Amino acid sequence: MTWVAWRQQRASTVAAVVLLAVAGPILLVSGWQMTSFARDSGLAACVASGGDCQLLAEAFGNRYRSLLEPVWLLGALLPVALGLLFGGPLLAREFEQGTHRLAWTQSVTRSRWLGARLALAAGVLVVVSAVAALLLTWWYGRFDQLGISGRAALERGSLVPVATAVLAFSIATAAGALTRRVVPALAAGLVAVLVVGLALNLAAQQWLPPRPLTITYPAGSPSPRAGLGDQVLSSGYRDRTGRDLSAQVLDRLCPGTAGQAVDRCLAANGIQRVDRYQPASRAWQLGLAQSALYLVVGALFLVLAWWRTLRPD
Amino acid sequence: MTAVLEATGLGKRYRRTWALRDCSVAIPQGRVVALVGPNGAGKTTLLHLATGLLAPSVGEIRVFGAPPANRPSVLARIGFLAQDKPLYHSFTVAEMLRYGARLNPGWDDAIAIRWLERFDIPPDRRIGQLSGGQRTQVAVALTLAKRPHLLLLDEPMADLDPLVRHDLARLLMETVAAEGLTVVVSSHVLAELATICDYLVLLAVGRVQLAGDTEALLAGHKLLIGPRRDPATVGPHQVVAASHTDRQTILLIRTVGPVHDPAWAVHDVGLEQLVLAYMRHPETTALARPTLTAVPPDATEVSL
Repeated sequence: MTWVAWRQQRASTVAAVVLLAVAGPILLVSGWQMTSFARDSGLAACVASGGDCQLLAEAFGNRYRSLLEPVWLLGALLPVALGLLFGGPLLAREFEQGTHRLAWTQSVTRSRWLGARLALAAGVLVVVSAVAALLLTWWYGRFDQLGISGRAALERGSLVPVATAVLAFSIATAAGALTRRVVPALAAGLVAVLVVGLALNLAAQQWLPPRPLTITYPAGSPSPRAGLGDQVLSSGYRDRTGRDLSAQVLDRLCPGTAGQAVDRCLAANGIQRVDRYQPASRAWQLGLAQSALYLVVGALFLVLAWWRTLRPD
Repeated sequence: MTAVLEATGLGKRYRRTWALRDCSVAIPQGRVVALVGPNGAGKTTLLHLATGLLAPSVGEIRVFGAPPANRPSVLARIGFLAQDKPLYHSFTVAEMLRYGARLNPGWDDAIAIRWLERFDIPPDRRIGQLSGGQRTQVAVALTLAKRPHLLLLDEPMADLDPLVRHDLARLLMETVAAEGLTVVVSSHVLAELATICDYLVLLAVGRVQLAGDTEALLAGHKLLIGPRRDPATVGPHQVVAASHTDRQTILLIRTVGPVHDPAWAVHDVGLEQLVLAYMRHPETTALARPTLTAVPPDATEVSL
């Protein structure tokens, strides 16, 4: 059964390797360029000596900050693409070409057949997406080394891309079991992955440990935690008595959009700013919690696919 | 003789329509069974129920004494050739054989290789590059190399040219005779099965209309030709079909004892003639021997 499962997984695996072969060099080359720029410009040495590297860091940032958005997008989409690639056709192609009738009339039970196919596909997917995760982690590490938080540390590699790939795989597999057609399975899978992923991220922010911290500081002055790479989840304003202020009240109090005049007005009225944030040091914890949530929900979709496939017509 | 495949009160419903209904048949071991019926009569449904691909809505089906669904011990003894001959198009022929070998404990590679050599199918060719007929041969090879005790073939001849069709039928029968297999072959064209089958199951709109040993069926039916008269006057016999000219009446009857009336010229019937007569009258069933003497009133006036 292992050979059968592998033979049926071969084409998707080749496609996944091609995807990595395209994305990998882009990350590696830009990563190496950043390293050599940091070395040649003296930024690396400056950071190592612990001096004030503001100007050098700015030069570095100006040069490479534009890469952050595309790489973030790549990091978000690559695992989803891998998951869909492995899960979408897994069952849908069998039903579409009628080969499930061949598979289910050999001398193995459906559960053994399905178990072997799912286990092998998931196994290969974990390996491939782990390579993608390592590449991304390494790439973000080029920024971290220099003390420049490119983006909230929480977006970095870690386990999340692997869990995202598994979630997308499970959803696409279930979509294939339900639609029994490859293209509809991929389309439905993509939409479902985006909706479920978004919902899970919101849910994780709302309910999952570790809970966000809050910091209160005078409005109009910079946050004491500026530049530490925190992920700020929400901000609000309070008056002296600790009452929350709505945007309308603030607007009436200190009219205008922004700028020093508004800041002075806020400070003069003793308004406090309250930020809910996750410190960068929690990246691993948060990544673990998010990954666990993805895997649990992914397992539910696999149960759905399992039930739909094993239920006799 | 023990029944290899036994259905009792078997029925399969898709949403509101019954694809198969109230089906009770027992297929004895070592027979070559023609499963015949018009398109949509439930042939494929019955075969899918026999392989466990479908679950019965009512009733029961037993193959080698057990329900076949998801039971490797039963599945290993069934060789099933699905109507569309599903194969993995990206596999080579050799990989397809390896697939069979990995999934079936009783696999015999030599059987498959011999079969493919006979039809000149190169093992390194991809399934997707083969012709429809060649694919059928690969699917047949896969079915036979499993060394089944029961072969279920759903329209095996459909996409073959007449010459290959003849070869395949002959080869299948040689194999079957050598191994003592039980075979169920479905077709809506009886002609391709008439020479090879010795047992007949005729389905009509989801019901079993006729089932039994072909010799016995032929012996139990006669064609009567005589002066024109009311079909109801033939006595205890069941009229399957009747036709009239100005002066003559021709009846196909299922006999209950000998025909005594000297007015009738009694002829034997051919298998195809018999099946066609029943197919034209799907409401006529001949399952249990009627013990009553009354003649069923349902013989309509259609030419034989």
